[in-house]
Amino acid sequence: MPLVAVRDLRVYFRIRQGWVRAVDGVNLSIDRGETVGLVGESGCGKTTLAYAITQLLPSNAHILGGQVIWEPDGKLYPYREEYWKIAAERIAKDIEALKARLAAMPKPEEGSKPDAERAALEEELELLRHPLSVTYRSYLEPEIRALEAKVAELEAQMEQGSRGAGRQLAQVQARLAAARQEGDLMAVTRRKDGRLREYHPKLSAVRWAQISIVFQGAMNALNPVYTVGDQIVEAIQTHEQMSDDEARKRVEELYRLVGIPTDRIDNYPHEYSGGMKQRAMIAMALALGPRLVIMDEPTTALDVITAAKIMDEIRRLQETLKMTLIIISHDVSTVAKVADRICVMYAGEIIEESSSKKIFSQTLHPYTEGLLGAFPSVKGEKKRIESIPGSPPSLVTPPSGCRFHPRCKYAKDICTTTPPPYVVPEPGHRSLCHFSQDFYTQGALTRT
Amino acid sequence: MYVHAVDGVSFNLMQGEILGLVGESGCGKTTTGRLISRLETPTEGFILFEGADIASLTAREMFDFRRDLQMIFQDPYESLNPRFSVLRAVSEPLLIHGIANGREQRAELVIHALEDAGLRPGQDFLDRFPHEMSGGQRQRVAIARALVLNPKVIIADEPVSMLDVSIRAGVMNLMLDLRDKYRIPYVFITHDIAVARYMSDRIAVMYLGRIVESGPTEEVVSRPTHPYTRALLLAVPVPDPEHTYTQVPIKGELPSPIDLPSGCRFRTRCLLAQDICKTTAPPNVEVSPGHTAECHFAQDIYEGRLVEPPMPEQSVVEDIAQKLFASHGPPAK
Repeated sequence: MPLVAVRDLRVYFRIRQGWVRAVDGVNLSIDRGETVGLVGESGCGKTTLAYAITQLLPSNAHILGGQVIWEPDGKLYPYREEYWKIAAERIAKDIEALKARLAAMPKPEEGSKPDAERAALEEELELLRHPLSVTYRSYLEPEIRALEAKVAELEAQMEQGSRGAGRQLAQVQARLAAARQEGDLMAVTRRKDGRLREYHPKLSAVRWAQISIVFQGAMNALNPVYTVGDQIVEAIQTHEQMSDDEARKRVEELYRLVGIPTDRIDNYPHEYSGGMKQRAMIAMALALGPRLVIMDEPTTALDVITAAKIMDEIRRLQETLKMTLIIISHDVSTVAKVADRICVMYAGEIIEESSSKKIFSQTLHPYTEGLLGAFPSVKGEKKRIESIPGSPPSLVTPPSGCRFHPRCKYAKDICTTTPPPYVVPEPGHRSLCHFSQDFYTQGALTRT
Repeated sequence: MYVHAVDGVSFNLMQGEILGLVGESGCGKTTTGRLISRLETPTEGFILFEGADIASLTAREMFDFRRDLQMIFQDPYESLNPRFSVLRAVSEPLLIHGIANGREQRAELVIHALEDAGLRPGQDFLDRFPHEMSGGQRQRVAIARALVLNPKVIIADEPVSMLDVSIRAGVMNLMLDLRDKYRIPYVFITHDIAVARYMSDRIAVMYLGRIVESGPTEEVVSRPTHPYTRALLLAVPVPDPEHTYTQVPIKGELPSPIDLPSGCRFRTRCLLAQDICKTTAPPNVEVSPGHTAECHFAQDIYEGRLVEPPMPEQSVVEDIAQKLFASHGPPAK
């Protein structure tokens, strides 16, 4: 059962030149107790994805599709899948119909005014490709109505003293909740235009208390004019009714947990070393016993030895607390130390996902191969490392077809025209590349 | 009070050689680089460039010396003036040193340098501004600016650490190719020993202002002798899923460079420290030709007679964890 599931998520930023497609159709689900690594270069959308899950996005971010389902007990998933499937079939039919209508329309002439009708159809099509909770709900209208009737009927039976009705009622209510897409955090806070409300009681109950985040650059995330201890106490008291003494005791425990001497609680951030600041940030993230912790580049600005120690610490916490973790980094090797699964992101998409071992031993995406080949190592024979030619694309006007094709040495004509589908050569391993199946059968990436 | 940023450092740089200066932040590697280029004045000691001490150069000689020594800085966003076009940024050194007559000749030299730095065709880049280029391209402009004067030495201070992974390799390969082409020696300053291994012929590891170990790169990486180098090498993540990590054999945190430990500077963090380390500064032991380490036990470590004891087990925190997480329901899973 996933603890958190991201479906078809699209986060676009509105800027003068248009939309920055920071996260563009990401699917990701994380099981409880699992550690997932999110790897990619700067600007690939990994931090935006993390901020979308915690809803800490800047005000020009628009959610233009998808869901973030937060359902800690995971009871609704079997039903969810069922209703997603029903809705998806209907949506697919509508997409086909829309496409047919678009195809039937006369081609717009060069330089002519944009056709309003055509634009509206295209927009509708785009929305259907990445459905929101509202979309799903509207496509499940008959089911929802039937279930509501069933609930009412069962409730009436219960009043009359029917025995089996109670048991059945719980199940039907769960089905109804699943059909209504309950549990989608985005549905609660999303405004009509796709921007998110800053405050909602349902979100506040989840944010930090259940999903917390260790921000990138601990040195800048702590307030320099308050003691570190006070900042953690504040985080605790914002979410829990607790006396100052109790909260302070909690901070002491947290300090012992992450390995900072407890006599440093009343120090200011500038009195801490870089490693200690990072540990304090981790302590703050753990302060409310969250179920999911997102760590955004937890070791990037740290020295090598300190970084290794922090990673050891994270591994130890993971073992003792059985935490569910998302670790974001640009360095595959760092993430592979702790993660069970690794997702590689490029230009707003997850281009490859597999177990931490397979990502090295059975790479299926050319970008992942390039990323792995770009790091020098201290072990083994010294070999020439290769860079990936070019640079990451603009997310305002991403390349047509496969977004990696301008930099890919295996690219063929199809890559420039057709966006690749996910290839799943074995369970748990997917790759967004036209030729991944070939790479899989050949056992290596080669040009055919 | 004095900060002993660089304290008794000696090394040579040969023609066509790349020396990797490795260490954590605050170890004095950047200060060393700045001393060589006389951006900092040494309190004591010599820096000999082609036999002349650069500390005693007259203003005129200094000016000429700076032409022979160029620097590449860490962050191309900051080291390039945002209001200068590439042409202006790269021709600035030519103007200062009065090389090349007239606009056309300067542009020619600039294009040549840009193309050497991998920006081809150079013509296309002349009118661009820093914000119109990617990080890798910007760093290549910084490299071109260093190259345009045909320097005799280049000091590169963390030239790739701000660059994205996929671009980093290209800049490193470019620097290696340029060395092969022009035989320019580099002092390559980096915190990443894996990068240093890739780039340099010799490595010098710095800790608290001293070079604690130096030697031919492969020798140092395969047979690290100073306990600090050994810790540094074990801390580097390895791109191999089968690799088993051990606890990094180092304790505590970096001491203040104002109040240095007596005897050996590393003793407060060393797992092999003995009484002698507290009282006597270690000698610089040559364990094999050209490979030296500043440690009382260097020979024993080098020959494998002495290894670090395992790190003490971390204290158990399970009960604290359970208590903390019990108030919010059981931990997941």
